[in-house]
Amino acid sequence: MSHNFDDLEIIPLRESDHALASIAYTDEYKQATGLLRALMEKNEKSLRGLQVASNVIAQNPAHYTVWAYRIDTLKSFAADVKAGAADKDEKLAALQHELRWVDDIAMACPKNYQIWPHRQQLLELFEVNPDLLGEELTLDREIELIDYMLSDDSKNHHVWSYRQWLVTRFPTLVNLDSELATTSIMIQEDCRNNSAWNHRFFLFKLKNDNKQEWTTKPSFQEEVEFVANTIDKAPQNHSPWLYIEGLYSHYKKDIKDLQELTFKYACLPSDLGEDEEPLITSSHALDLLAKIYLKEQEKSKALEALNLLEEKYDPIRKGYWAYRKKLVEA
Amino acid sequence: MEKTKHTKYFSRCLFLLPAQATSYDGNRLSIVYFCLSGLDLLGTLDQFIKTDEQRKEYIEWIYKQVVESGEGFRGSPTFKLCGHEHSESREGDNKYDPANLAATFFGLACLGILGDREIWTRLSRDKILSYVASCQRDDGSFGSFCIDGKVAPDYDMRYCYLATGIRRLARDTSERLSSSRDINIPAMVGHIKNTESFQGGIGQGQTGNVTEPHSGLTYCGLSALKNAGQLNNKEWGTTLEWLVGRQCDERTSETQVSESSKRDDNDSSEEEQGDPQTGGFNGRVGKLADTCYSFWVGASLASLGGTNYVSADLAREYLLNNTQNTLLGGFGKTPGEIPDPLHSYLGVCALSIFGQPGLGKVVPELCISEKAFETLTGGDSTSVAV
Repeated sequence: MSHNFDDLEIIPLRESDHALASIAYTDEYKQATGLLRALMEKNEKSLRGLQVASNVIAQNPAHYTVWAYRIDTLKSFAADVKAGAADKDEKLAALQHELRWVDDIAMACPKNYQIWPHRQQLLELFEVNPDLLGEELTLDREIELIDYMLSDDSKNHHVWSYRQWLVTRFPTLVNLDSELATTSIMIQEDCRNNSAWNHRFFLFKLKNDNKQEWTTKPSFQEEVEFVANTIDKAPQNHSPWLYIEGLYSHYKKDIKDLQELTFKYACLPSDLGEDEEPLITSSHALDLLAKIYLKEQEKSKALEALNLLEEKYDPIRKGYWAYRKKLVEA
Repeated sequence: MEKTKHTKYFSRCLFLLPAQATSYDGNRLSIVYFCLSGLDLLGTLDQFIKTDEQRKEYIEWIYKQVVESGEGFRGSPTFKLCGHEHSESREGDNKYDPANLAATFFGLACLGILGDREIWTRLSRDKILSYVASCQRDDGSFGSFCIDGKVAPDYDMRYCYLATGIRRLARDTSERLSSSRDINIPAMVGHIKNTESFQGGIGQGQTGNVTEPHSGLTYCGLSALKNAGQLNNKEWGTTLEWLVGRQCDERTSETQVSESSKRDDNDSSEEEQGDPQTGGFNGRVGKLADTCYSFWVGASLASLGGTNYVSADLAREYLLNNTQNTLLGGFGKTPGEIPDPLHSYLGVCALSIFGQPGLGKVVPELCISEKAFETLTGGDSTSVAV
């Protein structure tokens, strides 16, 4: 589909003599942005405008105002379709094609910032105008795109943020248990996937925040066991330690309960017999042990744990451990 | 440290970039800022700008990026709509040429670096501060720009940082009461506090939910508080712990803590890919080190008074031995990567924070030199007006 631009006067880029950080633009980019500027100045919302926007985005997806122009154009199409404009069929087709078009840009530029807010606005547009979509709004397509993108980069921050937005924005369209199952699988595949741990925490909060009694139920214990099993696979992996501490703190459980777990990976020489050498396989366990001892007012043991971290098990942060010792002594 | 090569690198980028840099077209002011500020910290700005006339011409180029309304800067001449020869029949408008927060912060910073003392006679503090306030949402967060009273739909902690940075640079602290429309500070503070993750770092969120915490977002959140005079170190102890945890140490993960026997085969730990990590910083738990995080984490620690809680020696060694490009100058994101202006600049800033001799002092929460700060505000960077 090609449009006619003969009536449009291109606004060229005017660069002054002492320009800084000039870019040796290609002719194609100069042409496309020249048309875009002309369309923007006229505030023209048209099918040819959408095509120019696609062309600029293909060459430079980080061009931020083109995205504002594009969503405004699409919203004007939605109004035209409703009003029964002469070209409503073409505009409706453009609207219905838009999510697919974003899919392609997302896959081509997985680190781009602008695609996700664009997609959010589209979903909200379809939510209030279901007839534009021609079918009921579901999240199947979104989850499919997300899973595809995470299969390529399992820690893509933009994609995880978008996933979280979907869950909060469309609670009735999301199955929380299936979301939880996804995080279980991802954590089993890579126990260091901190993004999956973060999503899991978010889901549990969503599910249980209004039910504090959750912590006394078998499902809480099951969760603790899931974390403990994952810790055992790689005790120096920080993610599950942060997760379990976060869980205990958020649901106001006593970290004393975690002492047994920490003993599997860290113990203090003073707790052992004379000829026993302490086996320490996780600095994070040692850190948690120090916190537990401090809470129990066993200050000398807390200091002993922090000394081990400072001198032997985490010396790169010795300044920090010294600071923590000062807090214990205070 | 390869000062001469870094000077050449920044100077080259300021002059002309290849067509592959088209993806930076929307943010050319950011490139200019990274490079000018890099030269400023290296103390070699006068090797790029040799005459006063040249300096004035560059200052004029920066002013050309001010949008017609005077509310701030555009990111690049590519956005400029009006002012071309045939626009006398003004049926259209400039709505798609808005000021944006990033460009406005970078534009002001560049003028300070270039030593422009006329800035506040040429720019209206009031227009800029009012525009910044108009980019704030009811929940305290900011969007990158505002068109026709509608805030852009992007949610990002960076805009809290940029908004408060602009505010700190543009407010006239000699006037006791400013008549400009101001940011809603309590709402912003509430927003930032809501984005502290259970892990300790700051993520982002728009509904009270928090995405995975990230060193860059943590820097932006803490710096926004600091710029607004609202950073109470006591409230950020968990964040401090998370931040110090970002320094990578292969020695502990591989040798001293005997973990290898327990590691199962499916475990695709990124640490096993081979690049040296020790002394570098990562952006998130379980990720690889990257030059820019040395700054985001180092500067966050500086704001919380905790630079000594990590190893500054290893932090410098990581950058100088691994990501500094000794051939082209500049710093790459990771060892062996081609240098780019952002990582080159933040590499230099991180080295300054971690005590590398011979570099200018950087204001951690603003990411500009103390000298540039003084040019812009006439004040001392250690005091923050609330």
